[in-house]
Amino acid sequence: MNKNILHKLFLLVGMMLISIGASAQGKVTVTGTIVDSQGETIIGASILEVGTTNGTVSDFDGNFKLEVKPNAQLRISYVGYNTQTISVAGKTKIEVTLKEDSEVIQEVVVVGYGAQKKESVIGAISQVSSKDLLQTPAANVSQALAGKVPGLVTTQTGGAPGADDAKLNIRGRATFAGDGSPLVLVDGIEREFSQIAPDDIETISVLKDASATAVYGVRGANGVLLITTKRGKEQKPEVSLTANFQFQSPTRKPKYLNSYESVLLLEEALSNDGLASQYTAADIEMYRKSVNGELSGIDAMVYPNVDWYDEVIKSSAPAQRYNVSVRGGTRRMRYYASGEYYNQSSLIKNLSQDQYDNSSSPGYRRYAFRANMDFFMTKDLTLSVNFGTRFEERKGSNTDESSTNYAIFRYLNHTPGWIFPVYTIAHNGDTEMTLYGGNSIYQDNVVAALAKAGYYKGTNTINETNFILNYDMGWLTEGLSVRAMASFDYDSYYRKLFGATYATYELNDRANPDNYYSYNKFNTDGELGYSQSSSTTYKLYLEAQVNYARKFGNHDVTAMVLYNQNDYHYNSDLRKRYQGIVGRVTYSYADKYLAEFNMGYNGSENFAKGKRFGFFPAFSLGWRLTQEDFMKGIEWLNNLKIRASYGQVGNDIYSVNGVIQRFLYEEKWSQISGDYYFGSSTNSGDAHNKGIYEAQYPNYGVTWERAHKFNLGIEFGLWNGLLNGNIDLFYEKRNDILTTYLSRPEWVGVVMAAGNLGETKNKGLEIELKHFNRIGKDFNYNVGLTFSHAKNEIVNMDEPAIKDAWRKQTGHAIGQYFGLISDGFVTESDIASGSLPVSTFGEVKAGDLKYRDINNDGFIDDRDVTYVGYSDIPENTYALTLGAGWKEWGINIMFQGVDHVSRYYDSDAMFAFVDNGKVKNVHQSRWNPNESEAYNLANASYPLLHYGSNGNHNQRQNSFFIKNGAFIRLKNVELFYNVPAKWIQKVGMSSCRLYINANNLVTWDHLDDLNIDPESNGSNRYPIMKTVNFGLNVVF
Amino acid sequence: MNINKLYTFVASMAVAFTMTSCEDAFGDFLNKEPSNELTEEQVFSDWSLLRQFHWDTYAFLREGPLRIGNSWLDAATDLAETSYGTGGTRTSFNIGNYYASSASDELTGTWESRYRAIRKCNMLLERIDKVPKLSTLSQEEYETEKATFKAEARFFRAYFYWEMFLRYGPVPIVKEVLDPDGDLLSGYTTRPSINEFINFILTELNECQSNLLTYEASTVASEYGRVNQPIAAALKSRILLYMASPRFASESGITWTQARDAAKSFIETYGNYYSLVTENNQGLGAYNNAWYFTPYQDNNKETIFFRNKLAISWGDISSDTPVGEGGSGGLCPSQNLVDMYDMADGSAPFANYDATGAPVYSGGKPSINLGSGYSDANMWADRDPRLAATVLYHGVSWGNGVINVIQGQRDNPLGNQNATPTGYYLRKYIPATILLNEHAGTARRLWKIIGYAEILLNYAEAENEVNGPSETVYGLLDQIRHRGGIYGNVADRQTWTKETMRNFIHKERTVELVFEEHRWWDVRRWGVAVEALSRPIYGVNVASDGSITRKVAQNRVFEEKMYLYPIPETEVWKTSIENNKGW
Repeated sequence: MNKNILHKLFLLVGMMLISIGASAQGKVTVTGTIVDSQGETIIGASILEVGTTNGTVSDFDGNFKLEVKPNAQLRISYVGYNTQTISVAGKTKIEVTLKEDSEVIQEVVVVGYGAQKKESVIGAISQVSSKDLLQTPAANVSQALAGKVPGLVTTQTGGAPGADDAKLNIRGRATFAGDGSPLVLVDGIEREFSQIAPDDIETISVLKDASATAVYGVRGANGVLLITTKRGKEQKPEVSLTANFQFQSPTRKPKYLNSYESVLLLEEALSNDGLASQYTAADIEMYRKSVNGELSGIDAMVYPNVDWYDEVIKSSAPAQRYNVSVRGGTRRMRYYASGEYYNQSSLIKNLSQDQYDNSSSPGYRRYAFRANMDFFMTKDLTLSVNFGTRFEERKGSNTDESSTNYAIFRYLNHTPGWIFPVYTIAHNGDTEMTLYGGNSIYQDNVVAALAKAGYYKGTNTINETNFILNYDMGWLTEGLSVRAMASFDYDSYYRKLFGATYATYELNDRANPDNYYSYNKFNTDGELGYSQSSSTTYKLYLEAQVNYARKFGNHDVTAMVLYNQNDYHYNSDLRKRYQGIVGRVTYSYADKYLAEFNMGYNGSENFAKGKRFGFFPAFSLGWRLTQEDFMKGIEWLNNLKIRASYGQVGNDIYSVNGVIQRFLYEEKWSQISGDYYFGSSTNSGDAHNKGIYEAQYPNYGVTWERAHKFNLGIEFGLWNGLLNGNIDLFYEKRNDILTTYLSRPEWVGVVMAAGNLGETKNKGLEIELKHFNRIGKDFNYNVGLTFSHAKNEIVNMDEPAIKDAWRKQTGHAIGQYFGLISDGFVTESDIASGSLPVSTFGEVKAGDLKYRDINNDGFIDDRDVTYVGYSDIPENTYALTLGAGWKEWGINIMFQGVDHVSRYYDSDAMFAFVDNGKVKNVHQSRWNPNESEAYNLANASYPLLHYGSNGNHNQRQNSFFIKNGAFIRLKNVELFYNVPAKWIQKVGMSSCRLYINANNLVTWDHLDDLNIDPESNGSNRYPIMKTVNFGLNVVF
Repeated sequence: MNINKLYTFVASMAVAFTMTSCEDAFGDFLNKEPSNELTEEQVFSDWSLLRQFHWDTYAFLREGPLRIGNSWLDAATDLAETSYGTGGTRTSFNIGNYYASSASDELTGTWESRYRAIRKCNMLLERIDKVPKLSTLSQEEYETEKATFKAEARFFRAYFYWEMFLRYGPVPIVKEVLDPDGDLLSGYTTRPSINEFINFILTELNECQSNLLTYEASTVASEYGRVNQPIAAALKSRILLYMASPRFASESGITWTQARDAAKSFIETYGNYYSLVTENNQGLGAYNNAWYFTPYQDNNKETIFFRNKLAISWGDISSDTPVGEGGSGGLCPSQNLVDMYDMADGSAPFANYDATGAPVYSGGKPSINLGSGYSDANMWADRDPRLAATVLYHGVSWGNGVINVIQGQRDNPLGNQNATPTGYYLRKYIPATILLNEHAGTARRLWKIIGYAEILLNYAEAENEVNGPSETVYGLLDQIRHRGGIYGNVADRQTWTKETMRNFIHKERTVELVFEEHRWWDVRRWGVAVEALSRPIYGVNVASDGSITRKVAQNRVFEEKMYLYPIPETEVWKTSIENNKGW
């Protein structure tokens, strides 16, 4: 299964060396084929005549040919399979079926600044292979990771083309100083990874405990993701072509009530608030007809029934991805080169009326190229060069497209369908004009915005380069090598926005709808103008490393020390720099007892000299019980390893509202122009206009946050692969988390920089179980289950001791939701009792939410806010994978779920008539004033309707509207067919695979009534997509 | 394989390692890149930077419009209501919630920002002596400016403490630059007495006054707006008047005579410099011009202490203009205020007035003084011209239209939540010139903190308390009322007693200084805040036939404990400082 490239490579190299030295005299020629238990040929298996150096490797058809002594014994071996020894015994043709090694296969795991054999890894590390990744059709790597790694929490909040990254957290979150995102390194360098071509990725390693992350020192506390791209192999060129055709559609689409239903509820809301009616019974009757399609002409215009979603959104958006790669090598050099084209279009129709056909429909295109090359300059010296280049093109409309507030969707969710039509045709003299609808409250018409407001185009050019020299110093002492790496990354972003204003029109003379002058006009139709923005980033990274690895009998020792520095420049901002050294010593005795020491000693520019560098050590121990003699007899137990680690790691990120705060040790004095004026002076050069103030008092002792992490793991393999698994338990304590001082009185008179005051703890576990079985020759299946749990708690954040207990965040999870507690609905008797607390948020009537006055001061206000629900990062995540293979067919299914998570969706997703907006189906089951109280208490699932800000009381963050964010998704399904070799070989192919895969196909959750995806934070953003993908992979 | 070579290599690695494990060995790679950020050392070693540090203190002067979550402090009084349904005073003071976050700008923001300003003053006082002379200054100029700056810092410190006193009562007096990392509690958690606190403020004002700029020095083109000697005297007049008032007199030990003398001496000392604005004849124009005229461009002699501001435009006033004009309603005057205006001839439209200055209501309306000619059906006619200068009522032509508050009409459209809750919109402070050319106009609008009219009213009020109604009192009041456009004389209106005159002065002060952040404090010092602030806010409905009916626009809550704000609760948590009574 795990045909690890490095080891294949080693074997290949070894065997070739051997075969070169073999002689061919006085012998018989044996030919044969090597296949696996499924009958598939094995390429690159080594065949060695026992007792000699004579050998070869199997070719691309699994065939080999070797001259041997007539009575020779052949030893046939291949990574991941049991080695077999076969007597030639005069035979000239041999058919060998290799059995897969049931034990854990010689797999290499990428660790910080190196790689280790899987058996000897004693840190908590999970690794995802290329194959796993490609089962998901997502072209965004961060999305493809969902459910694949125990302990990695992914949260996708939007699906906009080119802006659909998932948010990642390893083992939940243990800091409130930043967002707790892990450090991500691509080929050893801090880089964006989500838009890397998925086919280029060899492995993704997720480092979780301190043993694994201590080497990242001051930056490792939130875990580390290591992405390794593919490299060449010593083989003849292997060309792989992949084509994917996708159809994306939203997992959920908000649905709003039609005009007739809406105006009925609107009238009810107005009447609830004692506001004047807006529509007469006759009007409402016309809306009924309009909804039934019985109106035409002016009536249809005056009583519109617009479904804005239908006007703007397509049912699905296509995407394509093509990838070509070539991989191969000789003894002198190896290469992997690839090119990818990805084109993702959006759900939004191209309504642009631009005269040069520029589209306003958002879209994303990616051209990615990669060339990873290894040159074996001398016996000892290897030079590796990696080039990764990406051109990203983004385009879209002239509307605000931030990930949390995507204007097009906000308009769609917010613009009522009953007030004005999309457009009308009117005449100004002989000129026919298209007049887009609008009114004084809704001056924006999304169709008009897409048609006339312009568009943008953005390009992002990313160049990533690594130069690596590896020098084997075996001449000095065996096992010693040195390595140096320099990396230069450059990223240039350019965006040009072409924008124009546009007018909307409201009919005010219903008698003459055809006359342009019958309309009130809002804004004006402007000329297209443009603006542009750009940014550049460059990064220079240097690293020098000494490695030592040697085996003395049963003593296996490795040691590594490394120096690195990182220099990051964004535009002309102050540079960001890191510097440090890294060390690791590992020891193993007879592959049985394992011990490791890792350390990072590194510094962050964010802190003052003397507080800058931190020493972060980690110790870990492992015991492979199955290597012990006393365990040898236990047939069913193939592998058992216990590992434990303790270590410290740091975090230097402190952000406020997403903005990273640096240099807290520095006093901040701000100089502002135009601060105060004397007389009528307005000259900017006048000293009187400028002011200086003390913006922040420094924290002279500011330093990094420190995590203390414990991890206990067990790995096991039972019944020859029928059950493999591992379980990890972890506990983490953090201190010195940067947080605002809450205990210093304000009469000090100055804003203070954050202090290292916070403490948290975080604990949990990860379980991973795998079952693999083969029934007969042609059928196999597997089942995998992962579960992870991480629960954190704030231990201290400088909250004063006498603060109201219910309002303290201390003792609760980071980011736990706080809100008012709702005890159902207010009843008539509550109001009659006179003891109902006064709401600070508006007048309360029967049917409104009844909040708990926790502090008993007679008011419902922010002081009654307490913790409700969970945080927005799930405590529990789980995944179930099912796979089966029958001959050339295979299927893989993954269900992914999260639990113990709360969500509070944006107001347009939940509330009726918010900002005079519209209503959804869920509002039909509101507290209906025309029904009895008993009926309402039994049936209402939404409080009394209100108009606009009159609904403020109900629309507070509260326990009624906080949603259970738990869900289960049918995350991935893949069905594939490998075209049999006999058919494809004729056209020179070595493999041809056809597949259909899909993600986010079905979601089960608790929010069906809201019609939004549980992972999104609301409806005013680009929806999360479901993708169905048809793909073809051909290898020559 | 050479074992010695190995040892040498390992040893050199080890040496390298131990050396680099010390932070210094990493060199300066991680030093912050040089940047042009200021430091404290620079600020206090360069006179021109010190000046900028000092000018910033002026920026702590506040202005009334939109100060509290888009509403005005006066929207918390009986004079007005804000049309914003969701924020500001409407969901805090007006429902009696003095912890509401919607008024945090006032309730907790005052505490935080005043102490921040006070730190600035303390810092200037502690460090200015070490700041070297600017080369372009003569030694004498340098010394004078230094003395002036110190005096201004002391003035501001006293003024900021006064602002806090009104809200929280006596608060910890910080007179030094505190070290945030040091002991911040000792000596500060016990609150001073009123007497101690006021003495501190008055002493500071007395001591700083002579070193402040003189009137002449502060009224040259580039200095208009600087704190000068008259400002200190004017502030003293206000403080003494407050302290002599019923609410404070026993604890402050200040008498009406002292208050009278302070106002009188201001008029005697600075009366040549200051006078009421009477340009544009009497009445509506002159009253508003006291606001729209600047001291530096329009020779406004009425403004004593002000927060300067550049010209304002539509964005600065749109929040307080009628919805029919495209604005958001904002500060909407109440019927209670409208009822406080006299008739244009100076007679009283209503029969009785109470100590809050308002006519006495029964059954939701005041009883009419039949001789005045007032009628509810015609309530805006023949009134004190300051009514029309202050309030936009139905039928008034203003801006680009005629105010129409009939339901469904221009200024009261269906579905617009910012339509006036009282039937009135604001006119005072809203320069109509901005509305010209599709709202493209600009205008000057300073925020007047102390004006000459207030001094006259201070004098009148204290004088009446000392000597009862007199020619002096009548003269002061007539000066104000005639400027406002009333043509009758106070003395002719009725027979005055000290009590009726007191109520009349309260009314006059309220009307003349309406929306200048006086009412909120005046009703407190008079000890009538519960009466004034807990009664309903009235408004009017105008029916489609134009008939007017009174209505209750909002019920208000005010309890005894609300005379003072609670100390911000986070501060109580941190310091366990004694909170105000009732909180």
